[in-house]
Amino acid sequence: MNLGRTVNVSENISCDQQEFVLVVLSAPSKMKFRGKMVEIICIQQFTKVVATVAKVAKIVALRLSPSHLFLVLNEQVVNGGTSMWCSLSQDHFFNEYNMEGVSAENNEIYLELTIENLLRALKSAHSAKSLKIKLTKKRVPCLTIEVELPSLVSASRIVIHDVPVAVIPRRLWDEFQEPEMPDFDTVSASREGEMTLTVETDLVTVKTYFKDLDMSVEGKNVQSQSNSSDCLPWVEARVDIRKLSQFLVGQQVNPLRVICNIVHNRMIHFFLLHDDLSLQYFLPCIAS
Amino acid sequence: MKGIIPGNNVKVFGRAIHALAKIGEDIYIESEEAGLFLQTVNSARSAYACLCLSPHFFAIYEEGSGIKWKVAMKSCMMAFKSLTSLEKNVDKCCLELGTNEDKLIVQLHQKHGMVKTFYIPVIESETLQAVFQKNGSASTLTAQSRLMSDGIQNFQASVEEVTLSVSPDKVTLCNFVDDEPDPTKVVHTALSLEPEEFENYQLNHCAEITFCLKEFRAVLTLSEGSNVPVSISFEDPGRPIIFSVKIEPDLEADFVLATLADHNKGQLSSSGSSSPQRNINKPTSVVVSRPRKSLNNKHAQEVVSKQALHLPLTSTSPSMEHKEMEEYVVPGTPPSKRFCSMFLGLSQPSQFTSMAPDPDEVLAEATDEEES
Amino acid sequence: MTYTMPLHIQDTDDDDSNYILIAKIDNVKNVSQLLKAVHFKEECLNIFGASTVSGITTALHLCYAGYGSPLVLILEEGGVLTDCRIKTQETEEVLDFQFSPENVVNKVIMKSEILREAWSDLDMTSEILQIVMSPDKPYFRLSTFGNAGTIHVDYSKDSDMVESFQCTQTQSNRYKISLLKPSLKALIQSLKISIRTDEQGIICLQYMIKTEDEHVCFVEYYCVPDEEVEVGEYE
Repeated sequence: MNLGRTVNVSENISCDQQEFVLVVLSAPSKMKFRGKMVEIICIQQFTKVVATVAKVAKIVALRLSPSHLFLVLNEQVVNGGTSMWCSLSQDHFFNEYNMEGVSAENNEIYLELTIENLLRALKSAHSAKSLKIKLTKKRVPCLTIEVELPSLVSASRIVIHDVPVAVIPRRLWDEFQEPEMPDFDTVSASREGEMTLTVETDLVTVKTYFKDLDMSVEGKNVQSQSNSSDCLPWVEARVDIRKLSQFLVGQQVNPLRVICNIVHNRMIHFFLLHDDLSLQYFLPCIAS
Repeated sequence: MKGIIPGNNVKVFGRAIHALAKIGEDIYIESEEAGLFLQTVNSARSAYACLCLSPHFFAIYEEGSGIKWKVAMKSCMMAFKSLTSLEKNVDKCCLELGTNEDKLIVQLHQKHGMVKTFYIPVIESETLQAVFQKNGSASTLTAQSRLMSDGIQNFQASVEEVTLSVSPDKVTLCNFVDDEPDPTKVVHTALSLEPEEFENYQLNHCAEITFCLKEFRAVLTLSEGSNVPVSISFEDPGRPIIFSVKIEPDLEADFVLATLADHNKGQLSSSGSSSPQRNINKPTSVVVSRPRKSLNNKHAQEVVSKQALHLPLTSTSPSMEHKEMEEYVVPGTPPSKRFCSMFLGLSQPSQFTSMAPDPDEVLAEATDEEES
Repeated sequence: MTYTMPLHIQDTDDDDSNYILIAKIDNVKNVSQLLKAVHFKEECLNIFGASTVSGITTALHLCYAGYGSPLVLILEEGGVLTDCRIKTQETEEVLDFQFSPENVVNKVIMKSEILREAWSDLDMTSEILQIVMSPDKPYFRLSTFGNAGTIHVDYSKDSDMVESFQCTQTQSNRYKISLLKPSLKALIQSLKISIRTDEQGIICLQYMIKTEDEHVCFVEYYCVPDEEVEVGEYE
């Protein structure tokens, strides 16, 4: 059983430590992954998603399940504590997709990698005929990206990139679960759908007012909230502007819908929705 | 010395300067009846380039009777900075060595009555003599620039060295990864090419040659612009690899890069101590510099012997005479590049020990910090 | 916690009397272009938007209520309102260079594009930019003396890019390059440049800029020479 084989020397580490400690293990030979993309649009969109993630994260976890791929970031609190969850439906991107997880009950694979390495490998596929991604074992476990490029002389040219990865042991999988939406304080906020973005420095104050935004409250009907009160409480959150701008500027995905949820004085949550992928980004508040 | 480059060759000249600039920090210029020679070498003496422009490259060429001088690359690059501007705006370029031979004057005559004049100071010069030999027993491949650039664009900009593996039915290019750095961090990229993709494929034996990618890009800077093929000539690992570019009818260039001697990587690893074993893998430098007295004082000049060591572009140079080679000038600060301890080979490895300069003086640490 | 809604500044008509300066413009790009031409200090607001979507213009409403109040800029784009308040500072005296057209010795008007490349490629390792204007050769010359060596850029008076060449005497003036280089920003935006020097060697660079809505505006740079050089002393 693989679970038995993943026992390692760091048994003493408890899972509620905020740092996650990675132990590099050799990939249990049972784990397999092979995916192939043949449509250039899919390859390019996949590259854009990875590029978007690369703007806000350096090292991410890649979680593979039979139906989805997830890119997950859980930043340490000392670095700002942002987190990001990106979910991609595999059949939208891949023509062929085969995987065997760690075990029958846990049919998933969790890998950790430097996202920039993956991005650069994908970039060489911008005009590829096909793209294969496989889990392999070279000197270390790797995600092997095999790009089939057009060639003048022969049928095609193959470029292979071995991107080193680390297998995340089953023990730590809880850190990479889909985040629950926290209770959002949108209850009586601004029925009219207004949002204000404020930036303040010594010399300048800038406020931007957004109106006519769609408001939605999870599970609650907005209408039932209508009070005659004119004075509606506002929900506020202060976040690191660099991280916010990294996220906004790094967007390449062109989502169909963007939802921004604010938890008063705790965090901002962005939810980008597209056909077959979603990206969530959590920015915690900073102290005033 | 005086030369006037007509409009259509100005951009080629500019590209030549850009290519040399990717290798060294100074240009050694020599004006002869046969043409104008431009040479450069990198500070580690592990990469060398030589360009020859025949008199017909110029509209007017007045040779400088063997005068040799050296100028700073940065100064030349100021004049030839924008290749697009050279192509679009420049009608002709005049080169002239100033009357006191202390300045190189570059004058660009541009459209709309604009003239730019650059007075580039001549550095008190050393001359550069290179010895390398295009051996008959070397393997030669010729490829279109496009093939080469398509291939190397798959490598990340941070890749320092690549390994070219050749066999009768396959050519593979991959980034060179040492044992030293953390293998969990480095992406390994490999690309295959078919022999049919080459214009010429004369293989004498299978080989794996590792050379510096950054310096190879200098070759493409020159060849791609004119869309000409590149000839690659190599022997065993450790012997230099020579890239030749010909832009008909008047320009020929050779780029000589050192290669890694041994693929038994442990030998060049960070074991720390200077074991004598290391030296065996390092043939001597063949690129030497010769201190030269002030150009102005013609009487005190040391006469450089032309016969033995002049740069051969079309013929091979004799190798045995090198025993009398002039004193070796140690480069200034050894850079921390991987190839700092690589030198261009002599034809006979056994020559090495007798000619080796003092290893401690010359060899920089082979063990460099991981640069990733 | 409860917050009161911020005052919306849309209907300012009754508040207008509080302002000593009110300016409105439909397309802020006309203003931002000019600001970029004179911006050579770092502390400038950079919010005018790089809206490349055609058809969407950003409108600007600018007001100032007098000494001590902030400069208020309100930008409106596609229904989104941005309110900027910039704290005002004590002004320094505006320098009067006492440059009058009667004292002009030499004058050249040329198309900006011919000067752009030379100006942006100026060798900044040179402390000095020397400008020679003369009825004789080299007519109009820019020179630098940096680490790469001496560089001259000459423009002929007969060039098709030179619209007007009125030089009465040979003048060679040296200016601190760090003072003149920033004028590149105006040069880039402009169509034409007029270069005039007076008897003292003070240089006036006047740039003609056409804004998006076809208005013609002028930006002027003045600079005093670093020192006077004897005629003929240049390389």
